[in-house]
Amino acid sequence: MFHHTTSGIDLAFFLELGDQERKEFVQLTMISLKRIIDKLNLEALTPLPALNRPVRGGYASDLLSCAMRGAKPDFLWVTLQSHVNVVAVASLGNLAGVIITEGSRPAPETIAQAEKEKVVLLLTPQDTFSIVGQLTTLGITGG
Amino acid sequence: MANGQRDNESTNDRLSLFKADLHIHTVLSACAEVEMIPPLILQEAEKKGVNLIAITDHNACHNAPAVMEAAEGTNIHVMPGMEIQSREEVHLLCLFDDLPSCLTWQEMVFQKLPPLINKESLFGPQYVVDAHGEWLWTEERLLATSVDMSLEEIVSQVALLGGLVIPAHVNRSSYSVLANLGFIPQSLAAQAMEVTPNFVKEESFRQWPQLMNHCLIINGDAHRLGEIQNRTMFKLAYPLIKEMLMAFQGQQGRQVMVVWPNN
Repeated sequence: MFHHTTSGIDLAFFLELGDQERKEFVQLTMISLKRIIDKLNLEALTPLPALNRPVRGGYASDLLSCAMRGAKPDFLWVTLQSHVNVVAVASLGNLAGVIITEGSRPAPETIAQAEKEKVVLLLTPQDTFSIVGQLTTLGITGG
Repeated sequence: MANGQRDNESTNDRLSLFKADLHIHTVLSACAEVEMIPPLILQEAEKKGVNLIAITDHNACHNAPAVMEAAEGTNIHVMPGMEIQSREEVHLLCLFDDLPSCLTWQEMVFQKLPPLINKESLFGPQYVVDAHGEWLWTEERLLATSVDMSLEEIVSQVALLGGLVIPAHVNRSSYSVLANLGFIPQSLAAQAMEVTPNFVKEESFRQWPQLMNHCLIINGDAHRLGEIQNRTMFKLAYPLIKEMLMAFQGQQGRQVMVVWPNN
């Protein structure tokens, strides 16, 4: 097994690893979508991926044109927009998921579209500020 | 049209040219200048050869009747309407052929507009005026905020009332469908899109290729008289929405022509 502490990884150790080992290491140490959903008590509107998908970072904005640039692959995107275009942006960017805040529940067609595109939509009654704060304490950082 | 000129279209309708600005604010919009009153708006339109205008204040049409009344006996046709702000904070022009359908829409909008009070010191006053531009009353309700209706809901509801929705200033970096939603949703049944007077075709088509699939028109989004535009021309039998819809598609001789900047 790999050595790591909660406060960070041993860089020297990490550099000695081969490519495949590094990948496994990252998978093991990165926080997973499942854990975030549990911690933040989010409602999953779509089926979760079979593999416990890692979350590499976070992004928050309600302007989709900005999210298209700012949200990177495997990022969680926090927004109160629930328009169907959110699904397309998340799919194009290969995002880990979208947390829709303030209970802004998407239309059934939007949820169906997300299922089709395998986009994870998560809902919370909390506002974006509170959610981003909690993600930060879980170690999720911006791009 | 020139005398004796024959149309090669399969229609007997006599078509006329309408120089249009379909996005004009009045003193009801807190952000508009006090000069935006019926007689001055019409005088400015006349000066610029504009004979088809729409009155589009934020989420309200209280001043449309006054401008329509002031235009009686002139050659300027006035459409009632409003510039609505959707749940996604996207601005859309909602235009109607007649006042009753616009007022029905107004009631539906006010049911979905949060009941906030305008703060004049921050936003400015919202005046309702008569045909002469004399003050009648002041709207206390905060108009310039989002109505709790989605883009698609607005388009379908307005169409049910016989109205027309044109997404406003789509190339602007705020309150526009492209900025807020990233791209034009497939679900958005709008044929025409409004762009700003400084729209540069080549550059914008590179940035948003989707725009090439839509009929684009230029309006002034005028908050002061000088901003009223005369760059969009319609060829129609009558200044009616069904005719404009035909023009957007180039059907039966109906057309839209735009004088692009820097061309």
